[in-house]
Amino acid sequence: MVERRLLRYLDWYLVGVAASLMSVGFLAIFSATHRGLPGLPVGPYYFVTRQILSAAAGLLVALPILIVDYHRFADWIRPLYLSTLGVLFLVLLTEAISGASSWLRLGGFSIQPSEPAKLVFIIVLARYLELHPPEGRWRDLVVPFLIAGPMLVLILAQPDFGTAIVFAGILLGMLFVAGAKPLHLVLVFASGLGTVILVAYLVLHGVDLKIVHPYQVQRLLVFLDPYRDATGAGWNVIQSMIAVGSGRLTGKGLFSGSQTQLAFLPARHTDFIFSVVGEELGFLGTTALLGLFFLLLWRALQVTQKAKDAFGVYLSAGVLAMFLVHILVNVGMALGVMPVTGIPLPFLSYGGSSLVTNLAAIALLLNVEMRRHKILF
Amino acid sequence: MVDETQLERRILILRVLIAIVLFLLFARLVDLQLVNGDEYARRAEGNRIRLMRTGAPRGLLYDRFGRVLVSNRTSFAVVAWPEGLPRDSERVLNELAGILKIPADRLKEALAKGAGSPVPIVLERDVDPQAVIAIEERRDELPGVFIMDMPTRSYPYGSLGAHVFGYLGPIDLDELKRWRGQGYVGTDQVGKTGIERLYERDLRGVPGGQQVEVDASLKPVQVLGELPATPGTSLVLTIDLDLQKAAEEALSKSISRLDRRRPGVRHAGSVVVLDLRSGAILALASQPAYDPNRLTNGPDRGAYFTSLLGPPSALLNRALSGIYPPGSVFKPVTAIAALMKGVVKPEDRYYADGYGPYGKVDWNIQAHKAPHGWVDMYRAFAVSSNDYFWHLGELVGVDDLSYYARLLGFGAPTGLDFYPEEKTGTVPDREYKRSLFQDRPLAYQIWYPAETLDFAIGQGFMTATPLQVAQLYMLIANRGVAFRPYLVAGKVSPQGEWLEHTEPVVGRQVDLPREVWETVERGLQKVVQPGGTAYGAFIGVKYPVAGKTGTAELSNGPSHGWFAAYAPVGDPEVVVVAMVEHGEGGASAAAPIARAVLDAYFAARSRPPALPAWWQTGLQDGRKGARAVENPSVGPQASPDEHGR
Repeated sequence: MVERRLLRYLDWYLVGVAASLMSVGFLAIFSATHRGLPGLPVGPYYFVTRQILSAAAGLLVALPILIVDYHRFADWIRPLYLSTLGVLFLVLLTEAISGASSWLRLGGFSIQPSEPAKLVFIIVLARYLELHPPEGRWRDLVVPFLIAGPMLVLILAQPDFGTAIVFAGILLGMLFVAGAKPLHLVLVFASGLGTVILVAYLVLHGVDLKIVHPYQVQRLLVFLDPYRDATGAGWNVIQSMIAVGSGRLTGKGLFSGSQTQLAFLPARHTDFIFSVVGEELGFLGTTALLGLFFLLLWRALQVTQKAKDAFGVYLSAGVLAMFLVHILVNVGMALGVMPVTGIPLPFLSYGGSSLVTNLAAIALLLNVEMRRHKILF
Repeated sequence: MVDETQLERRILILRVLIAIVLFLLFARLVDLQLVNGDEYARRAEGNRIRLMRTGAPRGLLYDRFGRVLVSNRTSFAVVAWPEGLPRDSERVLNELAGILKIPADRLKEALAKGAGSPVPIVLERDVDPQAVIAIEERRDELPGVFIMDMPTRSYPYGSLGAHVFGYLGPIDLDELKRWRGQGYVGTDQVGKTGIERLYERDLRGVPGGQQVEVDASLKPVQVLGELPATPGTSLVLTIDLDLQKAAEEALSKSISRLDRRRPGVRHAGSVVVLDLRSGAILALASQPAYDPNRLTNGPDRGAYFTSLLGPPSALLNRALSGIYPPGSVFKPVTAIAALMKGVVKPEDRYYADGYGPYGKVDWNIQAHKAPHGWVDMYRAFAVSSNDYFWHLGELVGVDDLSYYARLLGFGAPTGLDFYPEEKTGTVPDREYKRSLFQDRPLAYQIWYPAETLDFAIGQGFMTATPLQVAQLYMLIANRGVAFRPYLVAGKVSPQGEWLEHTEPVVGRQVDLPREVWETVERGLQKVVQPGGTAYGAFIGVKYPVAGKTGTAELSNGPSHGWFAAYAPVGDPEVVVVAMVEHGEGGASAAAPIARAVLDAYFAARSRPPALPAWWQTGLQDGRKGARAVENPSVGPQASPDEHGR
């Protein structure tokens, strides 16, 4: 009964787009890692195998999210929210890996709690907005900010500025769809941006703010002029731009990009996976990839538009905002027009937490899309 | 509940937002990949492709029979791309210095010298395999640093012949400037002294180039194109390895015996062996010596160099650059001057009571031996009578003594092509003394007759190098013909083809009546016969020898010991000069060395070593010149020159 309903109303279009994106990701990861990574003595299939296993795990996680009626999620928001805060706090106690305490080691693998936290935030906020839709007053925004606040603080403390931006994007996107006054949102956005700029200015001019290191600010601002520090913070951006640009129209061919294969491109299987596609598959490849993302976003927007109730609208709007911010920030970074914040490209970047979360997010969209048809059976 | 129309409007706005975001990214892609794609492609190639220099194997040094004296071996060098080093290159260099166990300053210096180089900078050569493994293991911590194969110089016989071969060292700024345009880079190694220096251009070869693909850490991944290096030209030296060994061993034996007897004294010495028919240097030893391997490649080469400075300096080539009073080995000059001047006949007898004018006392009296009594010139040579030669000095006078000393090659270079250039020593005369003491009262500037007596027995102001002494005995043996000494017999291409040969050149010709030479030779023969000063060292000798001991007295320590000899008398082939600083007696310290070398020479003459096949053709050509001068046609036809001036 459940299977038949799933098969009948499952949005195969969305499934197809996600599957296509993942496939491109597998290829790009394999190309980027089959020669091994410095300091990691692993076989050529290590990373791509792990990514495929992550995809399988993601499907296992997605299945219950898909089957359970999304309205049931509303009943669980309290334990979900509190346990997420707890885990985000726990992760701060771990030893930093490459400068950030973002990973929890569980048995043989490590997970990044800030990834699933985005979905929890979407669900919790959607439930609140469903019960208390904003009516254009400033105070309507207070509780949503209080919900986001502790999560943001814990994530900034890791520090993970990139994920914090995603949370901010989700918050603004959902509030916008829920009817908050655009002027208010613009002001919030502007003040947030203003705060970041002020902090950056202070830190760069020698004010010791304890929690923010100058190198973090430099890394963030390097996209403004990567050549000012071409061998340091600017290296990643420059090498990424060279990789993408040198792909020209048709690319150098899979497994043949010199920037990728000779390791000039940093974090090429994770943050800069887009540049691998750009170098090896060229403009045709990147355009096709952007096209797939466009279809994903467009479909998510359609789900939002057609959701049968406010909770569904907000859930799908949150997922949409999440994807949009990820794509904009990640691709923008690879193309040298956005700060280097190190957030993954959905479905392509290597990383289990991210892939599972994205598949769960797709399941959420599918769930909302499916229940629209419930009346029919 | 959601306001439907408001939601629709906001969805529309989101739709536009998505379109804008994706369009902006798309526009950027057009800009990067289509508009500027070629430029980025060019930069990607620049990332990937680098030029590297491959060192040319240096030319080899062979002995006269084609045996390898100096060669190359494969080794690893640590090199760095300057732009591959992180900005805190200090950290990388310190870590590297720790692995290599050398001072970090040396790496910094190398890096600074290589600045601006388009090819990787050689930081350290001949790194031991343990360090190579350690560097490869820590590759991630040492960005920009990698290991390259690089042939390195090898001196398989260690310190043997070190002063002939020389050693290599990093090119210095002065050399870099002087040899600009010859393709040197700041971290090249060049010959610092000896043959290595003198024939740097031939030995060096032409470095090759490689176009390599590198990865982000600038580690070479594959070679894309290559211009092979041209190995340097090899040199065939006139040195005979066996004879060199014999000379080194005999010298070292003599020195260590003296060291045991008088531990506080700094003994040193040299041996030079010349082929009388060509001037070819068959052996040239100088001790203390150094190990060129350690100076060229040793991780402690700086400290090693300092330890060699002495005294006694191990870097000094004593055969060419050591200046000593020649003592009694100079006496043939006094005899020749007296004979030429006609102030004495060989048979004239003189009563040597051991006491000369001006309070001079002969060595045999000082040694509490009986005076020599009545001596003629032959016996005076045999017993090395100072009285007799003082007497001749008085008869000849300083002016003619100086003239003949110069005529016989003293005070001037022999013409040996070498680096550093040979020293010339001093032939004193009145003018010399005047200028020497020009800042002192007149009484100091005057040449005193007592000084002529010192001069006559090779003491006082008279100084010479062992090579000059060898030249004197070559003139006696060859009856007035001295070939210019030389060390390089020919050049051989890397393929083993002879490129050129050195033709013997007469460097000095002295036309004296044959009887004069023969008289001196008879005197010298008596030296090694019973009753002669060197008889002890030549008991049982199988070949006719003419020689002379010398014991040059010093004011500041035990005397220098000399022995100069040639053999076989009648058809002389080889001259040997042995000199031991502070050896006390020429007969005890130096004559046994000459005996050992001559024995080795005659032992080897009857069974020459096997020659490599490629050698044969060259050998025949090469000997043509030598054969032509085997019996120099220099006779007594030259009429006696009254005074020559």
